[in-house]
Amino acid sequence: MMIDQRSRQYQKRRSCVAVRLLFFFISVGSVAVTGCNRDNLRGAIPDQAVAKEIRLTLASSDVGPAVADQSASQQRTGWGTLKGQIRVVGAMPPDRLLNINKDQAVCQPGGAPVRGETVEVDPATGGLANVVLYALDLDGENVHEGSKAGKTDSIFYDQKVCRYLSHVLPMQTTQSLEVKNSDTVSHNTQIQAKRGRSINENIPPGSSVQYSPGKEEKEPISVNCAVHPWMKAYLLPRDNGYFVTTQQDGSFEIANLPAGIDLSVQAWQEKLGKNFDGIKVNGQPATWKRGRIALNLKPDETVMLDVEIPASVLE
Amino acid sequence: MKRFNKKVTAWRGVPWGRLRFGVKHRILRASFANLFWACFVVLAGCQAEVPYFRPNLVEIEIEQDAGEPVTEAQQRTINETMLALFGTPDHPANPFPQDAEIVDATSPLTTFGFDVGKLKTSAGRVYRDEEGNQHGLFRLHCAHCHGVTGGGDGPTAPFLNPYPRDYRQGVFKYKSTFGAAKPTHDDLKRVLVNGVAGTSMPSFRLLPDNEIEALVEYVRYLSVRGETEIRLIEYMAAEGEMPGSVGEIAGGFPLALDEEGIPEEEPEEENVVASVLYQWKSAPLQVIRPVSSPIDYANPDSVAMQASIARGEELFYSKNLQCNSCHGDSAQGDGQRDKYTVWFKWREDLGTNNDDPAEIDRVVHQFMEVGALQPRTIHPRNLRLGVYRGGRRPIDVYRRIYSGINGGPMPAQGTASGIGGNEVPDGEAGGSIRREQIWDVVSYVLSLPYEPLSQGPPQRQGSKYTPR
Repeated sequence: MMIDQRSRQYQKRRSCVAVRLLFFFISVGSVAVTGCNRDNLRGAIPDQAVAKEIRLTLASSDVGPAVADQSASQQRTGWGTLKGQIRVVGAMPPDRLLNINKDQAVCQPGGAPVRGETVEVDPATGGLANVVLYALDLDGENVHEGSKAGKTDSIFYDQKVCRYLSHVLPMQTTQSLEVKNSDTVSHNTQIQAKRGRSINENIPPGSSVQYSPGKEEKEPISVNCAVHPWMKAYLLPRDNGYFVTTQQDGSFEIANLPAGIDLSVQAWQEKLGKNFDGIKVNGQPATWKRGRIALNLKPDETVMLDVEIPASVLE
Repeated sequence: MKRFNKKVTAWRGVPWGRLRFGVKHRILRASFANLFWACFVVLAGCQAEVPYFRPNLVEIEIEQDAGEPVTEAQQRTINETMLALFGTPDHPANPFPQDAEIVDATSPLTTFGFDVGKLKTSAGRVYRDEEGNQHGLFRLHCAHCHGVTGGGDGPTAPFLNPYPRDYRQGVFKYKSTFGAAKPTHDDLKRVLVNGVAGTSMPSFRLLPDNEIEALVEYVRYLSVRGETEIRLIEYMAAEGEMPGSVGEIAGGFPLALDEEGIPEEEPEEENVVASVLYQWKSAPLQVIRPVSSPIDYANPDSVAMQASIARGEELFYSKNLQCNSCHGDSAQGDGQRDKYTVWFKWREDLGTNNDDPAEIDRVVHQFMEVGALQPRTIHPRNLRLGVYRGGRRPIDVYRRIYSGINGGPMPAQGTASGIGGNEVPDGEAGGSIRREQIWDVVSYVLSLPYEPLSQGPPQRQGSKYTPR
């Protein structure tokens, strides 16, 4: 009886010690976790020595403007063509409907639901429209006469029923856009360029403004309307004319690409960006790193790409 | 077992009885232990870190979301280059080293880049030197809201509405230049001296001029730094490498400069710092110089003024301008209120391709974990309050209407052809309205606070704006 009581007392004390230890570890632990590294937004901490080395390089460099280094070792041997079709396989997700919360009389005539244009799949062929493909890093001798930089004709860019009539539009940097408003309400066209000229101008009914991008962009830039937030489209200013958007059936063709040199053709789709995962090219699984297609054409060759995109990535 | 018993006995050896005063005191002892730890942390732990520029993790997250992750090693390369180009918050550096052996004092290059003397006064810790000059101005006056990095993410930022400006996009709202052009030196200075009415940005009118000048230079430095970083991250995400050697990234030498210190040719995109600085340097060429106002604003009761107000009202609700579409039919700023500014472009883009609130919430939290503030939509100004953030002089309101508000949804009513003092004939002005008509809208907007809401003419009840 006596022993029993004492052992219980010990147990009590031991648990007391355990509780104290627990407190101790909690306080130490909480310090370790939160105390001295409150800024978890520090990211990759730079190495001071490396930075100093870079600074010294900077201080002693006399490099002028960057010279785009063309793969000079490669000689163009002729011209070739890239052709193909981009199709979606599998059950397509339902259309996304836009929320028309303003100016319904003009923007939603008859009250019919308006479909978003982010993913445009042709029900008959499964073709994916509005994918833009453009060749990167080509200039000088490697650009065919028909795609030379410096095209200056104006492009008519209309908006009607609160919709941009071309959803993804590649153009040459030197071209200008006549942005027209064919509606009976005002639109404001906000073009948010990364490198070139950005504008945000009000366009009254029936009138138009001129836009010239001025600089090449690496990927499509957005066109919005603040008055009608659902309106969205894309522009892609490029120096040369090596670009194409896929047709309704998903087909595309870029003619007269330089043969014999390593080409990099960028693909971009609004929903996917440059992220083409799980695609099959000519029946074989393929990866386009950063959405780029690596090619080397033979003279007068026509390369056919039959691209299949699983519907699941477009959801 | 024997050993265990021994241990227990050892515990028993401690005179617990004397130390133990009861349950209450045991809690007390636990608190003492915690207090000790707290003191330890406060006194020793958290002061060791030197202030640093916080990397733009939100931009990294944007790229990650677009399927172009920037690896930790790549981020480190960017951060090391940034450190080499711009230095630290304690020791800011000019990305164009102006050491005597590279650039002699008379070279135009000295006017390119930054005035390091001014940067040093603004940067670093807060103290007064023996001559009584104040140092560490940015940390003294600005960093608590704008953050040490100028990312608009200081400790007070989450509690402010609107949020403090994030300089790193290089986008400023209240300026005299057209569209997306950078603000001029005077524009930034005006904001510092006058503050921004209706926001938490106070006036620094009481600071001596040299301190204001130093701060303007430092804000420009932080902005150029931030924009350089964003461009490096974008380039790294797209190409998987840096745009070039560090000399090419700075791109400053030997750039041919004209007598005003503006590069004669626009630098290439790979010359990241130079091309960002070029935009700042060429901002004065983009200033809007309006046709002078035909109306005498000093005389609000004049017949001409009343006529101008009436014309302005007509324009305000017209289909051409549709100001009420956002500012509301009663001009109380209650029209379109669901847009985001360029500082929350990631949130805007998230909404355009996504309808699932749970998914949006998840992504928003991802962004907030890397330092983004809780996204807020932008509300059009309530024009009846008489509070004008960009200034209440008629010319300020004119410029807002002419060129819109950069970064936000407010569009320009004028066109870029009318900048830099170019007189455009009225018939050819393009844009929504003739340039003199903008003054009529200015008259009307400036008259709105004095007009009783209930007495608006019938057209204001929405009858003129039929599509709504």
